[in-house]
Amino acid sequence: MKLRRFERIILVTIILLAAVLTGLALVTVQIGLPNPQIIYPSEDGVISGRGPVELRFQQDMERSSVEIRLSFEPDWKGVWRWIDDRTIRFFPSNTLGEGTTLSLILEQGARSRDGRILRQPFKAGLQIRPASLVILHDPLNSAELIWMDAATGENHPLTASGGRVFDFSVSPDGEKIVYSRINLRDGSDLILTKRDGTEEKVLVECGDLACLEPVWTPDGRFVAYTRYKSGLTASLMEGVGKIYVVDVISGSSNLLFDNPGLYGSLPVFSPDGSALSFYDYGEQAIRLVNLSDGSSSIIPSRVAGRGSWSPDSRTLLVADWDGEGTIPRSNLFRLDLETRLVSRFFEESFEVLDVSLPAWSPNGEWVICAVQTQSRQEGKQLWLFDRDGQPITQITNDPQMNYSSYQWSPDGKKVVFQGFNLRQSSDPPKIFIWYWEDQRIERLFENGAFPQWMP
Amino acid sequence: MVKQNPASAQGWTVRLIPQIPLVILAGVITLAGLARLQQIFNWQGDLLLGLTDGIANFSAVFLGIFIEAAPYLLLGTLASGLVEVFFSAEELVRLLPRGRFLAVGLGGLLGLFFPVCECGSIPLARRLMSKGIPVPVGIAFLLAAPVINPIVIASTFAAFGNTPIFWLRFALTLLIAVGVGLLFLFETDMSRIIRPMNVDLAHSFHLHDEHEPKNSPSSWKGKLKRVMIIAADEFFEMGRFLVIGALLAALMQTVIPQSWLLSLGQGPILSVIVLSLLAVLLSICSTVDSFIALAFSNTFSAGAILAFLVYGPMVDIKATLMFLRVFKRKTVLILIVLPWLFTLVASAAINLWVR
Repeated sequence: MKLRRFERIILVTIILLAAVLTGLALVTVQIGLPNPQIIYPSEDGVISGRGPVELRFQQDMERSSVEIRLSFEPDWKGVWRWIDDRTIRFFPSNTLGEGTTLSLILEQGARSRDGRILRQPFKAGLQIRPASLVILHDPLNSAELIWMDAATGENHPLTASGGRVFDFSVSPDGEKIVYSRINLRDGSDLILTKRDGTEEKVLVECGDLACLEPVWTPDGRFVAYTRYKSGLTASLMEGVGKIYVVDVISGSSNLLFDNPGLYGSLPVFSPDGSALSFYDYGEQAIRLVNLSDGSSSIIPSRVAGRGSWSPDSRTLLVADWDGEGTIPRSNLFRLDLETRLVSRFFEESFEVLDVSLPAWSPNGEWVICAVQTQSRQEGKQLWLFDRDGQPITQITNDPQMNYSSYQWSPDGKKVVFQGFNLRQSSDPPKIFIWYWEDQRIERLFENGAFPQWMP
Repeated sequence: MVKQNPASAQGWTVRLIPQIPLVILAGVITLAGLARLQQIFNWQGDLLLGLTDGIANFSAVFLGIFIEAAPYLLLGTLASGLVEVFFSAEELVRLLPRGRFLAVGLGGLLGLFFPVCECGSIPLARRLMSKGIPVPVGIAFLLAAPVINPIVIASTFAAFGNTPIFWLRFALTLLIAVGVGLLFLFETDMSRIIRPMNVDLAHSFHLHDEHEPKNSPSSWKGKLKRVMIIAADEFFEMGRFLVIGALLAALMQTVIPQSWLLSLGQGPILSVIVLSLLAVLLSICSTVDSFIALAFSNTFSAGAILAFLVYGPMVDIKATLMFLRVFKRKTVLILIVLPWLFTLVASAAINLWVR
């Protein structure tokens, strides 16, 4: 059958298009998936000991094909979570010490939704940077945040607020700081800044309300804080506020509980991010909120304070008045979150008059705590306990000093803390550091308070 | 034994055939009613439950497609009636650029003035061609108008916003429609393209005087009456094919699960093929298909979404049946295959290089 001209043209066009399509199919086989880009770290593979490490692909990915091919060498325990179809972020469950080097590996075979395959393994070297410190400088007169290198003592200011910084919190990955800044209406706003003090912006503008006590979620996405209606001066007297949560990216701030009768303060997230605890003034108890379903429960505590979460989020230590003794005294209680059993933390023979909120070591094996043991006239001294409440060693022994605001370094080898001379109330607080290895204590800074590690 | 008169038997058949779509419509509505009764009275039995579920699904899909498309078919036939009554062949041809390529290009953009989806564009294209618009121009209009019209532009923008998908949908549709139209310029004998009963459409680029409407009424009332009569005639003529097309589409959707088709759709080429076939299978009106495509945007590549948005409005099951009313089978085959291949090549290339 002889084809007419039109039919020939149509046939040739169809054949050509089919050939091009076949060619594209062949090209598909050849074109592999481009290597992903590492977002963290930004400086030559240097990251914090808490990560996070973020990989960004150029295509929407088949998630499972990526997840099973990602690993660290040597191993780093944690979870990978997708931010969107192209971005996956690693949230470590343990902190790596400074100077640790490791490799992030994505094995070949990871596949995009449009079928492209990573043809070569992707490997990136990472190095853990040394943790530094953020300190509230001159807290009694003109409070500003300063950065400090714990090894050399080198420091420089992070804020220039005119002495109006009230309190602050460093993000878990050490990339950001949120701090409360006193405003001209006797309130305080929350300010967000990068780790080097740049790109400062108002995260929550609170007007005549006092927004204080910011704390980060473990993934660094949200900040919980207490909003005191009565303004800063009265708030410090009354201590009655409400818990809010602000999205760091969008800036939207919402009340945690839409219950007019529920007041609270001092929020803390559990290390796994599944729960939030805060002090409920109405119930005189620590209230535990399950963030997945919104349910809550309470642990009675007449000492208004934070709870201290163990790194595995299974145990919460809470201070309360110990009603069994003849002399009123506070003690530490352990809540096992699986069995819901409450027990005394310290062993029977360890006599305690007053106790502060304890701090868990990053590996969850040790607890450091400021305890008053001998006399009400003496300051609280730092003690090291094991996870079962057995005293290991007394770190400080200077009755005229009261020690507080202690925090383990991310690698668990050092503890930074604040000391205040009870006999010289005009003396500014000082910052100290304790080295686990040789039990040495060094004075780091003369006029600072509330030290926090910045991984 | 009574001997049947062949002539009367043929007449009976001829009278019955046009009633088939009405019978189908009535049948589907009855089935839907039965399925509803089952739900109300809670009739039990696995087989019965499975059957009524299937019937309910089939009826819902059928009625969904029909009800969605019927208003646009009516709009298209009304536009067709307006063109027939208010425009002479000379006027229409005079509006066209003299150059053949430009004329075909303009055909691709004519939809901007006629907000019709694929069901409405077919009777309108047929009318335009019968009034003297060259067949290649009509084909470019036929393929492009379901997308390049104000309603679809608005709905696509509502779904995708000012994104590459929004712009690429219109660019690709225009390119493919005009490209296919241009290929038809090589056909010198237009009677080979269209069906014998529509030979009066057989225009190339020559003006034919004999297509002037005869005995045209001069009063507005008379003209409007004529528009309505033409629209009604065409609506019922094309409506039959819409009913059968919707029936087939509903059957296909009931028999072939979407999930099965979607599970095949990975890879830069295969995803494009799957979503273009799904567009044919779903036979969704182009005015709302953007919102369906948006639901796929988290699962499929941009190229595949574009294939769904570009090819679906050009060719689907119900439109194919309506094509058969206008064009010869070989032409319909070309109108199915060529846009499909153009769409596949363009969408696959986008998957590979643009994204």
